Amino acid sequence: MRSKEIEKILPFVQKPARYTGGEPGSVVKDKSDVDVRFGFCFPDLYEIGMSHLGMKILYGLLNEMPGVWCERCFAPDLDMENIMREKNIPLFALESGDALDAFDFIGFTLQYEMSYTNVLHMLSLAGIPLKSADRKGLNNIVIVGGPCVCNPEPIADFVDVVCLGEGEELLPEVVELYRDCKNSGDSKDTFLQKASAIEGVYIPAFYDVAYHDDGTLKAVLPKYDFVPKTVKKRVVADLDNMYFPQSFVVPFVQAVHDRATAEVFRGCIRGCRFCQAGFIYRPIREKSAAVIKAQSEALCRNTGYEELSLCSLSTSDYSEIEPLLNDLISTCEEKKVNLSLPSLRVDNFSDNLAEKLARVRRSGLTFAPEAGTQRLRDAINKNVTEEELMNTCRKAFEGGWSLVKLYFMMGLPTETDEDVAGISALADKVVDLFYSIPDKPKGKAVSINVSCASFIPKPFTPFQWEAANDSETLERKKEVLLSANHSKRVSISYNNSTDTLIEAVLAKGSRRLCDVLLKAYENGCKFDSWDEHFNFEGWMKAFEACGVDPKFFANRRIPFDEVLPWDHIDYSVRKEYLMRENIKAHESKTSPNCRQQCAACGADKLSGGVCHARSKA
Amino acid sequence: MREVRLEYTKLGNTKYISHLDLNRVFFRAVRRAEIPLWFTEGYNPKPYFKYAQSLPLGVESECECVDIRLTDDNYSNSLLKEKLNAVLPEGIRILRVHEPKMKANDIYAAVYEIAYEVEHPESVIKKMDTVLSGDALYVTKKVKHGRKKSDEDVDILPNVITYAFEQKENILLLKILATAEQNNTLNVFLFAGALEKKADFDYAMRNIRKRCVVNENYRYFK
Repeated sequence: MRSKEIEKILPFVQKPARYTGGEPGSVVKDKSDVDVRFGFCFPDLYEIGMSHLGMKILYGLLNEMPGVWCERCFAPDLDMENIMREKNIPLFALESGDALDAFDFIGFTLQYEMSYTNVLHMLSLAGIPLKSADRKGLNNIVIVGGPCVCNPEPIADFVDVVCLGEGEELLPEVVELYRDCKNSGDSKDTFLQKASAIEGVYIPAFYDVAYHDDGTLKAVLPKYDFVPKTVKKRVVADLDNMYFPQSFVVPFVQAVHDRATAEVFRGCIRGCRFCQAGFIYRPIREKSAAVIKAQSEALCRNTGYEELSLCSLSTSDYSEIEPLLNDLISTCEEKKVNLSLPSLRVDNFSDNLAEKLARVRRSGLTFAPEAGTQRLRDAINKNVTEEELMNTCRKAFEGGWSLVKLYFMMGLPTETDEDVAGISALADKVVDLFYSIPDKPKGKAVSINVSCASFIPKPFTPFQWEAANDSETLERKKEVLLSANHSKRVSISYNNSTDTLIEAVLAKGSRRLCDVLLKAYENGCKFDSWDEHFNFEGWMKAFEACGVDPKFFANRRIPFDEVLPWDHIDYSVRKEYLMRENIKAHESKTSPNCRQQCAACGADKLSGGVCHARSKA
Repeated sequence: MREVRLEYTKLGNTKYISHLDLNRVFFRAVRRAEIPLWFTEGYNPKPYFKYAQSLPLGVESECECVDIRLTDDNYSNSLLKEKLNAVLPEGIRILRVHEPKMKANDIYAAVYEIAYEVEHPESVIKKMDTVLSGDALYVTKKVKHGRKKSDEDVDILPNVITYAFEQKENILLLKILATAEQNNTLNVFLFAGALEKKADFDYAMRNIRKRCVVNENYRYFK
């Protein structure tokens, strides 16, 4: 039970049900039956963290282990944080109300780079030493996972154990090892040594980083014989037999994504060259339609959710999509569940299914051409043509839609002013299309929302060697974009060029970023992904104080032969393949998708040869 | 179609569930329990949930009421209670299920119990008594004048019909009977805050609980 101090402050904070626990589906165990306590932290607010599928999977998985109790913890909102600091209340987990420093594991899932300062923030609120080296005992083991850890170097000093790849098999192994070590009275160091032998586990403290005089890397080398030179990510080969929760914690306070979510497949056949998810989640592994259906039904029944969403990187590419949707649409209608199908391309379905889908899909229409000209779309391998966009929009307008959202990126490699102006031109064409359609919605004006994100090069993509545009270039391109827009029906939004710089640095940074991160946190940087909290000055002062030039990491094209900060990490896609794709980008040449032709990326080497892009074509 | 009234508690953690969020909690519980819920017949069918009153955030209650409609006229009240109690979060318990007998605007007053853990209960009782037997106790309320909203100081003592104290060691209980009519309801949360400020005392713990709701003839709301 939580302390009187917490009880006393809850009536005075916004949305207190974010801090109480007790939601349906949450797990409370008897402490006398528990020997490993896992504090699963999401470094952002409750409403954000409770939307995340990965946390739900691992929460369920860990709590199924006898003697293991996994609890949730989120960053408190500012009003709560202020009162907690004032009253000296340490950060606590929701299920027991116990302070985080009582836990064996402090886990963080790292979904975006701009949450890194919140990791330090939450450790600090819990009164736990920030640096791995300052946490001596076999407790409070800080363990991290998630897509961002494919380059764990910027957070290397703060974490003890990094889990690369998928956690369903890896995490229980680490937890069991910890239990054994605890029972035998081993030291933290012994535990870490033994953990480093588990496939997918990276222990940053066991590696030395050597630099050249110009700040580029010489090498990242193991300090000891027993640690591997390169650490491979972990992959689950068979998703049908992999753990998936029968129920979710159903929050009291509405989460951003407050619904049942069924996972359809992992990986992506498309190979868009900017997209990190498209490479780091390879190889393609599908769940069978029967399994997805059974898991969806169990989830809806056990949570009572009125909405079901299918989750994957590109649901239309699922090999059994038609039978699955046919099945789910009928079940959902019967059970009064809304089926939501994000990122679904509607163009190549049978008329029968398209008609059924039209009844289901009532949300707005979004389309992501990513670039304004065909030349640049070819360069980034986004295989969408203007004709396809126009066809989809035509169908949508004829079906009664009048609002279309278009997503683009700015600052892509090889981009010219012509490409940027092409974004506005494309939006104009969609407006013209609307007015040319005889069956257009009567009495409505068309509205096109263009959303432009800055391109940020990410590790393990063909663009990992590329530079992000600097602030001046991005600002100039925004002017080009705006002055090319001639229609009042088109509204254009874009993100800050200052966030872009920080995210780019954290994505591709080396271990030298650890000092900067700490300094930035000390300067008051936290909740960096929230525009209203982002503190650019705090970051720039941190770079200056540490003698680190952010442009070195963000705005410099890296030669192919330079050692990358994540070269000792193996995410299974081969570097030669990424280089090939990079060269093709500069020639504006596309690559076929994985179903059309295998590109020999090498991703199947970790799944025992399994890649459903080949076997389920 | 049949309408039933659920009498339920809202205790412990669930007192922090806002009125808006509570609706979702009930809807999902009803779905988990596979209750044959009736939906409105409009363009967007919605489940029918009608609450007698809304409870301020942070206040416990032993006497909440919600009316729901069932498609199955023969669905038994005891089964409904049993199935819902199996899936509701701890703290929300269905006490009784019956046909609605009174209307929400029959509600006249409510009994609240405010428990304080304090160091010197006797002296705090004296201070509170002075305030409560005084002329007025002002709270700042948001008041609407047409379209304009403004802050206004309102005396809430007239809403307190009667009060009494109890004491068990360092726990002090203030019991109040207060108006709970639709346009003349005491916000017990604002009341407690104003009382603590004017009586000028600090506490280690405070808990507010709504005990019962009555009509003009002091009969329990059913």
